[in-house]
Amino acid sequence: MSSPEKFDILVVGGGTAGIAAAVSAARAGARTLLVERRNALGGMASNALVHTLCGLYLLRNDDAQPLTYANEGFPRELAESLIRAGAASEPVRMGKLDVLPHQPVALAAVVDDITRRTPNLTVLLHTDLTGIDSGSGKIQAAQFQSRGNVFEVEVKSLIDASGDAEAGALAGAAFECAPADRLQRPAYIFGIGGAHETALAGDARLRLAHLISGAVASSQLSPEALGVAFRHGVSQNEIWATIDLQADPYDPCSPECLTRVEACGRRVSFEIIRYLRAHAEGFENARITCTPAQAGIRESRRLSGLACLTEEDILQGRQVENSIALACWPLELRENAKGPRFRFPEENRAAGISLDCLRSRTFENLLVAGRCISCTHEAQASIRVTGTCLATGEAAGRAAAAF
Amino acid sequence: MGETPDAIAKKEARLLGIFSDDILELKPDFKCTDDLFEAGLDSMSIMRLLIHVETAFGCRIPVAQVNRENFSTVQKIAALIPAE
Repeated sequence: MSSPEKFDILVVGGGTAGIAAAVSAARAGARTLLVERRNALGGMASNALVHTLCGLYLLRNDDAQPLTYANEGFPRELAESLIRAGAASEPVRMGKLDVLPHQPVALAAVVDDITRRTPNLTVLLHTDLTGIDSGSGKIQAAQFQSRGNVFEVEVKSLIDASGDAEAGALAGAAFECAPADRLQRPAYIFGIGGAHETALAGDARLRLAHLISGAVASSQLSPEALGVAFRHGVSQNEIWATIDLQADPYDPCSPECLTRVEACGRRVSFEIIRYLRAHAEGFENARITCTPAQAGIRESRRLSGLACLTEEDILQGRQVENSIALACWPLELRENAKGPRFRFPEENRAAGISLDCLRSRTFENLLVAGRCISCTHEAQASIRVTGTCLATGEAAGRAAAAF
Repeated sequence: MGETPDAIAKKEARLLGIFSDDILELKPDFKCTDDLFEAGLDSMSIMRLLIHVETAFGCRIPVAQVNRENFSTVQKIAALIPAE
């Protein structure tokens, strides 16, 4: 094997946090490597087919208040790039929340373009992190494999944007994980084409609920179908079905559990589409247009940092002195497959996230970004959304570049 | 024969109990005339509600009566459930 290549910064995980971290670090002049195990960047927002970007905008008391980005910088840049490219529509108000609907595959293409145009940045897809060398309280090097090829890089600092604190776990950094029965449950999302454009119009969603509940009650559909919800995509011809899965016994870091979740999601998706084609108005010619590269994982490990963001911080909209990003999404608890429970902060105030929530307490040159930053289980129900992941990613990238 | 006010109140209380036990997180002072969609009712929670109603009251609300207006309050949903 040739001698290890040297990088200033290694970013593990090409989800939205990793993209923001890598682009920001490289723009600040750091020689940066971004590794991703799947075939596309974007993480949950592309590979899991999550199709709305949440947490981009400050909460509003009503429609009359102007829509404001919670975090300028990369979150805004990406949102505007997506809108310009036709990969996202305009922001949409859903109940008390503003979201940006996007097309997951188109997001991956937009991000390919952004990373390709970023100097100092190397992106490697199809690459698995296999090991980390550390010593004297620092990360020194990382090992990878891709299609049987093994290689190593030496790094000055590492940003764990894996979503599962995977790099931290491999390095032996401290992390936490909520008990299995409290972890936010996964979602399996699939795309539907060929439905009539009025298939979800008016009270059609409620009639679909009636149809599916009847089919479950009469054992024509599996009980997991009760976790499904339908929503239009960026185009009116596109429908997304999201199945919240209970997945008990649930362990998002266990391959046995993940295998079961993926297989269950696929099985129930095909059951649902077959049933809708036969029984639901407007779905006679419907078909599955895409299934996800992976189920949507909402929560797993959280890296233990120098500080820890809490439920109270979010609900009281607390500000901190060295705030590097704002968490503006309410707590969205999905500890079961029965739909979300929301907890909104006082006066809809956004909470500040300290840089210390992105700094590992074990290794001085290990930072974390995205859904696995240092926070409590409850606070994670706010900060896991894309807008906040982009913001913590950008902050981690800048901090690592200055390291 | 119409239902007595007592029977209606009992049915509404039972339905409200189903809601707070398994469907929605309702404030303690939530009333049978308060808006359920405001409180978070959506198509996913309606699926579970219909199954609970079938189990608890032994009836299935017909699809023709499933609309946003009829499902907006506990009182209105209770009116769709025949007298026992």
